[in-house]
Amino acid sequence: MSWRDGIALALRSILRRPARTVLTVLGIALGSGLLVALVAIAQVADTQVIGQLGKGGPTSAITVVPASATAAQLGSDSAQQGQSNPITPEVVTAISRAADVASVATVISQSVFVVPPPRGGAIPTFAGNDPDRGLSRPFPDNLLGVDFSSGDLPITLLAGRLPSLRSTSEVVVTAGYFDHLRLDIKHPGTVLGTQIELGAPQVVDAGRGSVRSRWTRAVITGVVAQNAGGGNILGSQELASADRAWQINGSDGSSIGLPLPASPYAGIIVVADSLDHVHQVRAEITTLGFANSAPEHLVASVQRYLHVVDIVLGSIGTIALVIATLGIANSLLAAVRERRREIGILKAIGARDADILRWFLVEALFCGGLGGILGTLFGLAAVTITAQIVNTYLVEQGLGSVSLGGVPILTAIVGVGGSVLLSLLAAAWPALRAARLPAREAVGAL
Amino acid sequence: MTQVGGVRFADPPAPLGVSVRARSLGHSYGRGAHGVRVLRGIDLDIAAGSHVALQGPSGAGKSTLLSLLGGLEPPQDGELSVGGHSLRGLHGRALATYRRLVVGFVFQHFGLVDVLSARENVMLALSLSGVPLAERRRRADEALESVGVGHRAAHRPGQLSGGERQRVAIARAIVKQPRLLLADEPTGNLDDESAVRVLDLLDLLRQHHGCTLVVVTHNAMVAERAGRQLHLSEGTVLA
Repeated sequence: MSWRDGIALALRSILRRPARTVLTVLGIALGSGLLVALVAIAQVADTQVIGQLGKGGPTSAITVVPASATAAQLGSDSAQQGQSNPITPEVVTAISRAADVASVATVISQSVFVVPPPRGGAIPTFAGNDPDRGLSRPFPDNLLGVDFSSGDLPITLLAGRLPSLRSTSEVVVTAGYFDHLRLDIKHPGTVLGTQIELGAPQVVDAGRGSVRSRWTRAVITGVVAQNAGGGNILGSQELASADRAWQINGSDGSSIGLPLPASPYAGIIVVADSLDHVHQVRAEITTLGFANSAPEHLVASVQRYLHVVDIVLGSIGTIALVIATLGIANSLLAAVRERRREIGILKAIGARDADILRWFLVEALFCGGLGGILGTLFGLAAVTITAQIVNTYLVEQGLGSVSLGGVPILTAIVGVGGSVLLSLLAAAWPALRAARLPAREAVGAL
Repeated sequence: MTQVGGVRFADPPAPLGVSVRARSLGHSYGRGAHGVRVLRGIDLDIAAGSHVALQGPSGAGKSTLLSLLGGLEPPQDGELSVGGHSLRGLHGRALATYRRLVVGFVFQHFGLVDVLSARENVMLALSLSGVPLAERRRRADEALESVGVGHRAAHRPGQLSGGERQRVAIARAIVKQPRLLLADEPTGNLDDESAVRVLDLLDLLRQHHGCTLVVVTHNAMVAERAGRQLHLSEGTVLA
């Protein structure tokens, strides 16, 4: 019997028992779908969870602070700071030339007074005789000047958008800003589009406590979570540099809490060329004399836990698939029992064992293949629905959304291929049993 | 082409029948205390192209003898040769080849595959021999025409009467021009009129194709149409 005839006979047999075929295919589809969904969710979740540890930046990012490192630095994820140690342009150059460094991004930090708008209103125009103008109480904070064009910054956009490049009139804020205003971070959209005033101080006479400010009005374009430095307002480096230059032109106000900035840069975000090289790069930075932080030990621990989760989820999916496969075996065994007579007839007219074997294997192949394809589609749908639920939760928690928008192609291939392979394995015994039925026993009517 | 009573036959290339020779043929089912010896030293000669009826009570060994003749299982004891070739020692693939090339079966319960049409059932026999599709279809249609059910070629067994089903089964048996045609109670499920038509057909087929025909039957009328009747009792041939 040719493959073509075997396929035709198998398809006819399948169509003769539509209910059983549908149930068998559905069983396989559910099993493979569960496997695909769980593995896909586990894989993407791994990436996303690790990514969250990087606060939106690469997990291989290292934050360098303007302080010397203590002896405990390399054993700790956090910066073990000793004495102040300015980060100069020369230091930036030295670090960028170190081995295994993929990129370097500088961060400028500038002390500012932040004047938020009155609750529910816009900042009133300065009238001349009313310096308060009914404004909310100003609070001191840090303006972080960053290069938003860099994709390596540890910044996650929660709502809105990042400021336009080199803009001096747009900023983004963090959850800390909401705390100052006693707003709920679960509704980040409430601050988007509002204006704030940023006052960079300049000490005129520290002894008399005389300070003047350079005021800038900026629109809040977005809300972010960030790990670039200490501060709740993020703007362009041009904006922070201008404010910094303004303060440096004044006197040292250490006695009144407004010291001149000691370091040109408040920090550097150094990205290693791979997660495996983070430790080496940190060692080089430490050797250069700077405290630094990176979640390398945390990432390693989380990776180990995630691996356990992967195994558990994969095992659950595999068990489901195996159960579905047993369903195929059961279905084919029943089919063999039902078709003893047909098998005997075929043998009586000259069918070989291989012909009978092919008949049943094609049936299993069809059920496994169709079930695998449907299961992969089901898995894709399950991942999409899960992603929406997870994203809703994450945004409610003030975290960045994750992208579970697709089943990795390899997982899909394994889902379909695994279903087919397991179906064939499941069919092997019933098919062999059918093929080995003695011809006379099969033709029971003789 | 030869036409007899509305049934047409293609001219055969040559007489096809094979002789059958059995010596001390024995066969058992089961072993030890639970074993049942079904055939006990049968000696038998059937001439090529002859028509033989096997009769006997239930349990006499008719079906087992037919099973051995048809190569459904190898003989255990004694010698059995068909067309001068011994079936002793043949197993699996070799027996399947023997069944495919030498034997045609007609079953009491027709033995048609329900999910296939009449034409596809007949084509199935040729498919196992690797006959090309177009030729398969042509020969199947010819066989169905020759047994008078050409107009039912597209129908499934469930849509045919008992007589028509048996005719389709006969078409399937003869389409590969078997040299030994074995029929197990071919009229057992048919009314009298259909039974007569099927017997006429088998007789005509044998005469025209020259194949050897062995019919197992309880029916005296069926047995009388055979040129020779063999009576089996308790595993031995009485006459």
